Amino acid sequence: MIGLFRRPWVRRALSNWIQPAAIAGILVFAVMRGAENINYRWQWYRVDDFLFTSENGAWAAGPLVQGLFVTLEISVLSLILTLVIGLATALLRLSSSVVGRGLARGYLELIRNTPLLIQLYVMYFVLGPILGWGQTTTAIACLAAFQGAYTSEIFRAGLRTIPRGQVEAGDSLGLTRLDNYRYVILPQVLRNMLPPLTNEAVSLVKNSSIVSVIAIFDLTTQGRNLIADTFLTFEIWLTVAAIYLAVTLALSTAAAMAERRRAGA
Amino acid sequence: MSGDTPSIIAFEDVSKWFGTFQVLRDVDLSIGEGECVVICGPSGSGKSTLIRCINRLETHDRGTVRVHGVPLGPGERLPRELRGKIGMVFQSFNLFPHMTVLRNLALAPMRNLGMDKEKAEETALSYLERVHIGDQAEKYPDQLSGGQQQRVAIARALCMQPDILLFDEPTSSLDPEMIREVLDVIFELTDSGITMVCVTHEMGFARKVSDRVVFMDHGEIVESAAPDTFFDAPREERTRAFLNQILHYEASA
Amino acid sequence: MTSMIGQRKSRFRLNRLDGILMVGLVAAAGWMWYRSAIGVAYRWDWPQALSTVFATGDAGETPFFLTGIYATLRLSLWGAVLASILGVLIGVGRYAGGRTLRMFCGTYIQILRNIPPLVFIFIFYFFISSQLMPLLGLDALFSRPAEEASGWQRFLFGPPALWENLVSGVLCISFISAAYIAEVVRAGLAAIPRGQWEAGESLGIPVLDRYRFVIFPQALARIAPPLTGQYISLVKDSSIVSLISVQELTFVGSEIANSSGLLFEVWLLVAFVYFLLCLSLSILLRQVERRMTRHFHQFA
Ligand SMILES: Nc1ncnc2c1ncn2[C@@H]1O[C@H](COP(=O)(O)OP(=O)(O)OP(=O)(O)O)[C@@H](O)[C@H]1O
Ligand SMILES: [Mg+2]
Repeated sequence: MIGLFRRPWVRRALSNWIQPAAIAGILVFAVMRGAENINYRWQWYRVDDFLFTSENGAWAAGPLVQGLFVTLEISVLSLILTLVIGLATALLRLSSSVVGRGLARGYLELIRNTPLLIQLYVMYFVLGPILGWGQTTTAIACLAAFQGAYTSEIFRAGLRTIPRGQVEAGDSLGLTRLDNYRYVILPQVLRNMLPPLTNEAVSLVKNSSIVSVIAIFDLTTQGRNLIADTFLTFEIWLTVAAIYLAVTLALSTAAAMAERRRAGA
Repeated sequence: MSGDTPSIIAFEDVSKWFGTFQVLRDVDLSIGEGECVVICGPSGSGKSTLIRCINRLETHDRGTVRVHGVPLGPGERLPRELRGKIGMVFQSFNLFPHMTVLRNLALAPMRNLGMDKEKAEETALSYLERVHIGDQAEKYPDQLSGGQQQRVAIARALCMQPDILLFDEPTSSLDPEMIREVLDVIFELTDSGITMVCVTHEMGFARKVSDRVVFMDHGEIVESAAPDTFFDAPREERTRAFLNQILHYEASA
Repeated sequence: MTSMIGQRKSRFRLNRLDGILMVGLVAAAGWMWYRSAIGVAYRWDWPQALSTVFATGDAGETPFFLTGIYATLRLSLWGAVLASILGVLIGVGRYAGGRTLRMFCGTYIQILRNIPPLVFIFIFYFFISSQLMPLLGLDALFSRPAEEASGWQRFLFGPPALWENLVSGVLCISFISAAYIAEVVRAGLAAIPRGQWEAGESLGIPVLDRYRFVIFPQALARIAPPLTGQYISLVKDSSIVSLISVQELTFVGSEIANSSGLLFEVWLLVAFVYFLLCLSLSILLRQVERRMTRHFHQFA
């Protein structure tokens, strides 16, 4: 029994999950006590209806879970687009094309030096109408454009650290250029980049909450709407935060494990 | 062992564990004032741990360490009056990279002894001359060679006018041609009256400089004898094996 | 480490990729122009937009748009100050504190970095306005008559009527930013080799002096570059407090855009102002950083 707590993965889980959760619990409790002092009436029992509803014995997702699905959907789609943009930008920056490098540079500076919220507003109010994009497209494009700038650095680092020896070894074995990339180079690049890319996914989930300002029914929007209806401000916000935390911490833990595995290998 | 001089450092039945691994096993050792003791032994035998228990960079778990007659129990750090009185020279120099050589030397006298800047730098310069690098005072550590850096580190420790100097493999990270200059500086300190404890694999140096050689293995003190006896007529089988290995290596290298 | 792609040509020479990209760019620009002029028939009116944005009030007050810029500057400045203090405390606590303190600091860092800033701001805003303000007695301070504020107070903190507004914003962004700064500080401290501590200890340098003269200067050299990034992030993140009605640049921009109907122009202008702000800040901070760490050749 004691031995169980010595196991590395148990200790990792403890420090990654249980400890923060316990402390967060204490903090929430403190907030609750504080709120009671201003006559805030806690109604946690109403929250489970917002997670799952059951009608005639059939379970259905409540508003918050529906919101979570939208959040995940947007995150996944923009992650795919992020990878494309990030890779393209990295290749352009490393290319011998003057225009390409300038384009990549300009894009990076633009994204890095303006707030995400402003990017979203510009896309929603200016670019979206011009290009005829709907809300969801705008949201995905905006998140991907933002994250792509940061992801391109990961790709760039990954592409730059391939030892020339590997390329030459593949060449000397008579692999075609394409096969060389496919079987020798890319697998190595990808393995090195998996942990940092997982962190990008965490960022995306986190940042996706900002699309609630353009009326997309993601987790944050659902939370805000429920609060407007029920005035259960603390209960709902804390639940929403806990859901986000669960998703991002799960991804971070996965990234840390992948990292350790790579380091151990 | 050194019955004539009072002991300045004494280990009494000292043991220490890292987790479940025992690094020091019932160590008994007494070092007299002004003595120069060389400690040798295979890697991982606990030499560093032993001398770090003297200036309390490590604390032990059982027994007593006496420094200047002050008994230190398990877990006890160095008492205030002894801080700075036990100098240490590290394998990797550990100079402060963001300060000039002069400031490296002057910092401790200013902050610990409350010396004013001028006095501290004057002292610093005099010690720099003593290790033959008076002309490097305004440089930064990374502008010096390894041998010079280690001599700065020795001068830095001397600035606090310590009674005890600990050396943890002071020449192990030096290129061969620089080992000599550092060992010479240490040799010049032997008649300064400072008690010196030196972990080293330089057996020639041990024979020439030390009053006593201590051999450690697996956290135990296996043998402790005057250098002539130690090298020419070691009592213990383990010592012989170790010496064989080292001398053999030195001969073939 | 050699790159397999990217043997840069030193001569300025265009290749096939340049050609393709240029054609693509021109096509995209053309398409955008076509869509905006003919597709959605947007009538650009920059003169009108600029005069709206920079119009002084009836009684000659500062233009609304400019008050927004000033507010963002104040928000960023005080946010950075508070975030730095909190961040250093939490980071040092995480690195050097006892078990419990380490755990609390770690949890703070972990949670704040893992929930969306927006969600934190909504929770915290409700918490501040309902609890913290009354608790700290700040509401009493802010309900003082406005005439009492002196000139320099107005300069540093803006118009007294908006002080409470400013404090909410500052608290929100500095609490978030502190978590990131704390992590930077912790990593910076952890990167200092143990030998530096041991050398300081064996020389008998007192603990606080060891931090002050030996550890912090070295940590600072490692911390400075990521810290610069955090300050720029802070300026950018300050835009989200517009959503809790803190009257800074984004808030002001959206008011003007909605009331004037000049959506395209105003939002582009707001984006441009942020761009200038962040870019000049990053250039400035890089200078400061370089000056500060001049002596650290070995880390450069
Ligand atoms: N902080 C620590 N935690 C756990 N184990 C340690 C620690 N420091 C040292 N050890 C272990 O204790 C043993 C003795 O270490 P020590 O450094 O004293 O040996 P040493 O004789 O100085 O060896 P070397 O010649 O390699 O310097 C080694 O096996 C080492 O792995
Ligand atoms: Mg050692």
